[in-house]
Amino acid sequence: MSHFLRDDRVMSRRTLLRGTGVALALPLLEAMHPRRAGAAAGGAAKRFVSMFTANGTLYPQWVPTGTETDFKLSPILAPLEPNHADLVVVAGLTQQGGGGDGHQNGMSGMLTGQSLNPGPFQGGANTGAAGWANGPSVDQKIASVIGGSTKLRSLELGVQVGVADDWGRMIYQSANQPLTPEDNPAQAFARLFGASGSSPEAFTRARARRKSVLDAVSGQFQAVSARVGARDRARLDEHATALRDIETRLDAQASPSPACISPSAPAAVAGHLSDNDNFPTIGRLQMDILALALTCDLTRVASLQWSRSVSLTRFTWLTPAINDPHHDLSHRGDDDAPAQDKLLRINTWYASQLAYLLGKLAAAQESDGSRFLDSTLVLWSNELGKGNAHSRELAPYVLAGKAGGALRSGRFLSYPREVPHNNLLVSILQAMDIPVAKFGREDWCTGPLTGFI
Amino acid sequence: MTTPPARVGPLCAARDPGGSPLRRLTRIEYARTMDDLVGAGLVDSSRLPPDERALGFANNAEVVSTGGLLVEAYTDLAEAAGDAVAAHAATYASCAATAPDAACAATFAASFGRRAWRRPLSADEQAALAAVYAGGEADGGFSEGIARVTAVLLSSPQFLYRLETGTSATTPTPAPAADLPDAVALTPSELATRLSYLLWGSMPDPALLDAADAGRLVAPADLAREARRMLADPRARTIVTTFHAQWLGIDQLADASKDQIVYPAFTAALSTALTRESARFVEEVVFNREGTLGALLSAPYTFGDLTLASFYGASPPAAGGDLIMLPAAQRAGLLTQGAFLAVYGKANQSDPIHRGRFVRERLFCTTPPSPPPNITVRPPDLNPRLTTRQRFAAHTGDPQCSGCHVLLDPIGFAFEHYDGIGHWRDMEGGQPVDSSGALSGTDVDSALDGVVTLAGDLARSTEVQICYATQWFRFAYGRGETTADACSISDLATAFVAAKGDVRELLVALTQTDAFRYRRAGDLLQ
Repeated sequence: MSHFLRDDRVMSRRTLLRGTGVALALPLLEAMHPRRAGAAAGGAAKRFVSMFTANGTLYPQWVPTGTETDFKLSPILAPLEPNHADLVVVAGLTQQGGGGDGHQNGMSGMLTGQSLNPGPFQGGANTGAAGWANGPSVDQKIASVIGGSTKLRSLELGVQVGVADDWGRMIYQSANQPLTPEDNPAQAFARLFGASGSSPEAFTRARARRKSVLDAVSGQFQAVSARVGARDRARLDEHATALRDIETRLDAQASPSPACISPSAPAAVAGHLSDNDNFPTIGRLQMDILALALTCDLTRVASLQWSRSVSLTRFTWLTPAINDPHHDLSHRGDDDAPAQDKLLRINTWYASQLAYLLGKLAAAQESDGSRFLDSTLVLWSNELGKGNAHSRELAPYVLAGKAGGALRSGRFLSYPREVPHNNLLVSILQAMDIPVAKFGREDWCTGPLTGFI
Repeated sequence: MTTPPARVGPLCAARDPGGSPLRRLTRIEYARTMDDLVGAGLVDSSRLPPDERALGFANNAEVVSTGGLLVEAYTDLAEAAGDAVAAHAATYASCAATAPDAACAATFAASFGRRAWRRPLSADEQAALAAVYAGGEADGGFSEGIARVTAVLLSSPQFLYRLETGTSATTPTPAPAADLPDAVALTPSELATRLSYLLWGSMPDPALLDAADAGRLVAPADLAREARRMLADPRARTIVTTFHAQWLGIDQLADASKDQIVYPAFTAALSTALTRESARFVEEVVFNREGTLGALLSAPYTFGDLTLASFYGASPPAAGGDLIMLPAAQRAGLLTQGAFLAVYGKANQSDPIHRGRFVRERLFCTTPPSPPPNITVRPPDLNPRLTTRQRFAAHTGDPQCSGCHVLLDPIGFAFEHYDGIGHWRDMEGGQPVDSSGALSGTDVDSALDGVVTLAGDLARSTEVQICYATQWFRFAYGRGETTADACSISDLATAFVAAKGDVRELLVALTQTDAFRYRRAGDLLQ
């Protein structure tokens, strides 16, 4: 398996600068930021991670049995047994969505709690074409509060996400502004750890150049912005905002912690990134990078998107191999035993991937010796509840981690179908210390989930 | 005296340029522009995130999104281009070899800037770049100054976006058209940019920039003259093949995943060969042979090597050539090519529904209704004893389905001789393939037997010509059409039909519409 975390040495200045051509320019960091604010006294910073998998689940094989604090994991969630005490399984909610077709609006509403605006993406349902979601996703709301000083405001990673449209986007910085997941592990790694040369001098030079370029370019954005119409200016302002964000983070680099271990570039993926059979390999690499980004404090908000809604991934690496595309299988009837068996194995495999990610976060230690998972809140969600009905009722939500103690974990919560999933998004925000009463579309939200925190 | 051609397409009641959402260079445009501006292969832009795709085309300006990932990539690539330029500064400004100083940097900024921003730079802009140079020069000499000036030029909105204000600091503002009171005419530089990205997918060449600066790019005849010149340039060929690859979805073949047990023949090599075949075919038909949509849809030939000939069961190409004459009863035109059939084929079986839907949506520009929400859509399982047609019989039996599927299935079943990767088959499930079907609700309704007859119908359909012109409208202008665009669409369709479906004439016509030449005044309001 292509792990790229080759050893467990604590990252020191020397290993960073020697290393494998990957330079983290720690001397500069120490000079400018003797101590990262969020990691200072008062406990570890909070972090949020979301993970998506597609095409709905098999609710009877997904839902745990038992009581809130004494429950047995279902067949699909069985791989998460090692993390039983870290889980909060939330069952019963209806995922909201509007505009476009069921996959489209489920994908877009999943983390935003918003419907789709009008636009040219021709949906598969009678509702006609749609555009992008009408508001920010919950992780971006969190990033706007806690994403301040790290190298990246948030990190979006994908695994064979494919075409850029509203079936393939779940993260929104704001209304109509989806964020593209990076689906190339090598690029993701380079983005985090840079290639700014191997000496502090080279880093200083590169930084001076970039600062000068960004300043001048910001000036050009201001100059042209005054001469174009209102709609065009809104587009340009988004771009200018992204430029400013880069500029404010120019000095942010990896923060040494016991868990931030010497990174080297991810192993190359054989063949094309889009080759179906590379799916698990890319996913593993992306999870390694995601964990590394958190443990090195390069970002505090991250997401991992496995494929896309209407995923056509073929799970050929399972035993026995599944050659049918996932979406085709998800349309088969409840009485189709072979298809049900395959869907069970697909969703169970995804649970095992989450277990891998949780394992990494549980094994990683903060500076104060606590687990990274304790400071983190992880959400696993899906664009649909039941695949063959395109239904968003009984949508499957699995949370993990303690959100820095805000969340009591090791629980199974069940709600009536009338409860919109926007309420879960509110509760997540509250667990992340963001005091909101509602999130997403007003009429899809009645407040936080009762008994969640 | 000639009679004007009969108008076709939507009823043209009132002229209107329609909306002009801000366009950003697509990945393809960015790469080609860098090649033309900096030098071929000097800037590797493959890491840019994918372009949003709507209505089939990966250049729809209405859904362009921006984010840190993209803007970081732009900044990195601009700095890399800066290094490439600075390393060979004399190539871009000869004074760099003899007198590398601030005056030379100003010369460089003015000439490289005019090419990068596709118009002359104003005095303010040149002053800003001089300041950037001075900072770089202080930190790292002439070379660093040039690198920074280049990086600024290539990270700026004037390069990345196609800004249009209808006004220019250096050329007079054209008069608005009398019967288009709410429109603003674009400046010659803005028109030059529209022309070059429409026809080349790249920046204007020196001749086009010069024509714009000299005010020789104003009247429709100017645009037509330049368009014809540009269509003779090899760069136009890539645009035409790109359009067809996106219209037909063929550019997604590389990412298509097939069941290797059912289709062991579907290898990466075959996928590549089929993609190349379609591009080569389109280029040959449009630029070297009949030149018409009709031929694209029904030509009895294709191009490739021995392997491709055997894929089609055709005789090998003559020695030294790559023209393949197709089996006349089995193949004709783009819809019978492996690339299209494999994209519109499932991982383990054919796909009559989506093939039928393609014909309705992309050839007739009608949107068939899709399954009602919250019904269980159950594609029938593979069954070795039944044909695909038999397995899909439920569509015609179940009244909840048949209302819409009657529009799709009878077209899609005509494709049943082609399996999920485009191979010809005579038998399926131990029974002979039945490729009978019907085309209904069109101007070329007929009973079908296979795609060769369908291709003949499509090739003579006026509705298909109007739709094809509409598809080009979407691709060329980077947006979907609205009712306000009726006159532009009708102008295009009329010119295309009058030219008997000549694709290059359609491209010239795309430079003559109100949608191309004007913007709405309201879009420019602050």
